[in-house]
Amino acid sequence: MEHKRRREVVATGLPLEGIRVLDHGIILAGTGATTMLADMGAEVIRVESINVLPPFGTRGMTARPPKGVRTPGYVDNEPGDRPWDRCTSLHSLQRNKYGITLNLKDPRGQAIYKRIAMISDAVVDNYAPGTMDRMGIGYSALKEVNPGIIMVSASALGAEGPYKGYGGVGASVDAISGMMALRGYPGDDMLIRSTHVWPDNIAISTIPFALLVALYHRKKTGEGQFIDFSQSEAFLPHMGESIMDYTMNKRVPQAMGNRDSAMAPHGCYRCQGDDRWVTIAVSSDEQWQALCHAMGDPVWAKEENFNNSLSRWENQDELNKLIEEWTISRDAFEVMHLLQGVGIAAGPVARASEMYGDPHLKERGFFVEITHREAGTHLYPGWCFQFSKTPATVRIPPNCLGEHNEYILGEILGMSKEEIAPLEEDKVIGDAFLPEIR
Amino acid sequence: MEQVLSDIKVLDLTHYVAGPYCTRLLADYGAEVIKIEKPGEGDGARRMGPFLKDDPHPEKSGLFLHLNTNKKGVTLNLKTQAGVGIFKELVKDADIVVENFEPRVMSSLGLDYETLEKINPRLVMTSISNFGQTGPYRDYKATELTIFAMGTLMITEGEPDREPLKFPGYKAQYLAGTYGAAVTMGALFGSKFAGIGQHVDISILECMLRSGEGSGRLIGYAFGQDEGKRVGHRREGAYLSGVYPCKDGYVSLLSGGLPYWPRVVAWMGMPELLNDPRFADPKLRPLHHGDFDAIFIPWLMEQTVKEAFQSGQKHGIIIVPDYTIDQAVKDPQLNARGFFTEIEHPVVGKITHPGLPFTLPAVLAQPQRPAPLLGQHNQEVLVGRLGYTVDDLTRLRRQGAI
Repeated sequence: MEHKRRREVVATGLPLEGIRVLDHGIILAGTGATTMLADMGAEVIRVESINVLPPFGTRGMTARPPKGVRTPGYVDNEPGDRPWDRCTSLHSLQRNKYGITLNLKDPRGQAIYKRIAMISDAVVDNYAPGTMDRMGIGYSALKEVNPGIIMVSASALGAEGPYKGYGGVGASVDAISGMMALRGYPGDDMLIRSTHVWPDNIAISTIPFALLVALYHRKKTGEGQFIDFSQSEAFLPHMGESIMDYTMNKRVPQAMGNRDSAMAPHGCYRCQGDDRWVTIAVSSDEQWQALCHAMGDPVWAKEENFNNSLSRWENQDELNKLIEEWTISRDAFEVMHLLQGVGIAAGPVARASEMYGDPHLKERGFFVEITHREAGTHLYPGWCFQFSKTPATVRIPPNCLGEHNEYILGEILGMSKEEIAPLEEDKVIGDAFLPEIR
Repeated sequence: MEQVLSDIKVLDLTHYVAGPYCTRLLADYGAEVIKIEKPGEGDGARRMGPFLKDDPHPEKSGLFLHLNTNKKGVTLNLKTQAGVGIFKELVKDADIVVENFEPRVMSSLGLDYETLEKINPRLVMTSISNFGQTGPYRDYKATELTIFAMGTLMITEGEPDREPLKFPGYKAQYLAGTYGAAVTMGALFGSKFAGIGQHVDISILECMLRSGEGSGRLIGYAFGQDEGKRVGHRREGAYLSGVYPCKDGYVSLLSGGLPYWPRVVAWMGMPELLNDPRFADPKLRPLHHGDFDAIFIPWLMEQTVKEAFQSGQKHGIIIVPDYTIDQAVKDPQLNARGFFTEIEHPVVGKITHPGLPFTLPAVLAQPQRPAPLLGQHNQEVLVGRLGYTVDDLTRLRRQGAI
């Protein structure tokens, strides 16, 4: 029987309308990248499986943490009946996507996937290299059903090369790029790990760019391609000037902490309260005068040690201590507004709780309210960009597991209810992890 | 030669880091990026180091050279009528304009989006700024330190008993530049294929807040989670996870928890540890981190970084060397994949640069072009393209317009 195959995608009125992307992202890189494409109007179909808990906590570290036990990482620290739909990792970055589940070990799951791939433009994954091939849906397999398909396969170190077969995650890139070696307080040798996986954010922002460039190429030539995306390569240009110092001058840069190579004062100062800080950066004599005046023209400010930009830079440790004697009794946000009022770059070391109440972000419309059928209603971080003519909106809340199985199989692939029902019975598709999944 | 974005024309008004990195990405894949600088001084990044041999010459800034590779350079004084006139002529044929001035600047020059849209309705104009084009902090001042601090990531970075640490370099600005390129390409699709131009407003602060961790923290707070704390250099949590010493350097291990334990034990060649209750029992395991280190670290210190990296990876351990920059530049994987590239520049000569963030196998790679000298392409663009004469250029220069 010839199944109806819908090539048309839902009109979103946004710039990437008409583009269909399959999302196999895990953790941050792949998932965040495809959300960006979805936010700009692409139809993103997130492909998961009820037979496999995705790695690294993408849908929670375990499938069923016990109800009623306080568990960080879930709405109100409560796993609930469907923990995989209530986890922070889902809600922080994912939205505007259709979610399906397919058991790719079952030939029926494989066949359905390939039918969707046939009418899709691109696929994104950040599994360990080779995983998509082992699942039967690597580039060579997909190219056979859709010669023009574009695949972006991201990994920490890249798939091909002397490190072929090596495993890495975003934090690996922090180490192997030399970034970790640059982190630290001036004069302190200690290697400090970051609490963040910063290179993943570079993947989140670069992968959509790569995909769109490849798609632009295809629009002109009809040619698809496979991009072996190395997170290390995408991240290293962000350290460009440090690399140039070595390649130009054979000099290995040292950790500078919060210092700047020219500006002083330039640092982080303790404020009133527990572990509260404000940053201040002065970049001109005028700003220095304004800072002194704001601090009540203290006598020490007139010392020879501080009377020009060079001497301020040389004596910055002493200068910083004296400034902190002023900030220590003040609220960090008050210091920001006071100093900004006289043209000085000052900003608190903010916590999430503080930014939720921030009036600037509120007026910008940065936060957006989403009501989610498993998580309830919350204010979510919105977008880091605003389009004047076609603003982004939340079209689909963070997708529950298998939430759109019926829609994608029924509407897009034209399968009937009679064809879909056995797939549910045989657990090829579903909306809950199988009981044996830990 | 044809590259993917060869038919795209970008007018680049950007300076310093965030804007230039955005336009560099477009130039990397073939877009014609005309960098427009102020006559005389040029982009402020020309005065920022590191400099070749520490000579603070405006054509020798490593930061500038890196950020402006693959671009053409023109000088225009946008505070003159002639300069603005030339810019508007260029806008007619442009696909994209990118700027990262303080938000009031473009309208003060009479070059706000509403004006440019009338000249070219399909134009995509991308404006990158610290706090965005609107809002009570719109005109606030910021450096990398300010934005990074406000982005919610800094509070957990550094030692618990010392001040929080910003990331080295200009990470927030580079991130915003990257988002800028992605979102500008998105908007370009709307312009090219649906005829809809628009103004794209990017805030560097919002890029930080929309990062994986930024949004994770914000949602975490909304979901009632505790906010994190600084841990500094301490190895906490599941082992093996963290920085460990080898004979000649350090490695980062990211194979923490019981699921990795069999591989760790196999790697160490100490099968007797597999069922050692101190490490195998999930309740006892967290209490014996010190015992584990006492066995593991002396064993690891017998090996060089290279040896540990190779043998660990063979055993399925996520281990990488903790490189310094000089080591990163020599990394075998990056070099085999052709990541670094030598570019010849008229003033600094041949220098090795970091290359492209990704390669497109379907498209022939092009040699990278050096960053422009100040005003290097004035003749090519103003005479060759706009039809001014060489005499006009001399006159415009005397008048301070270019």
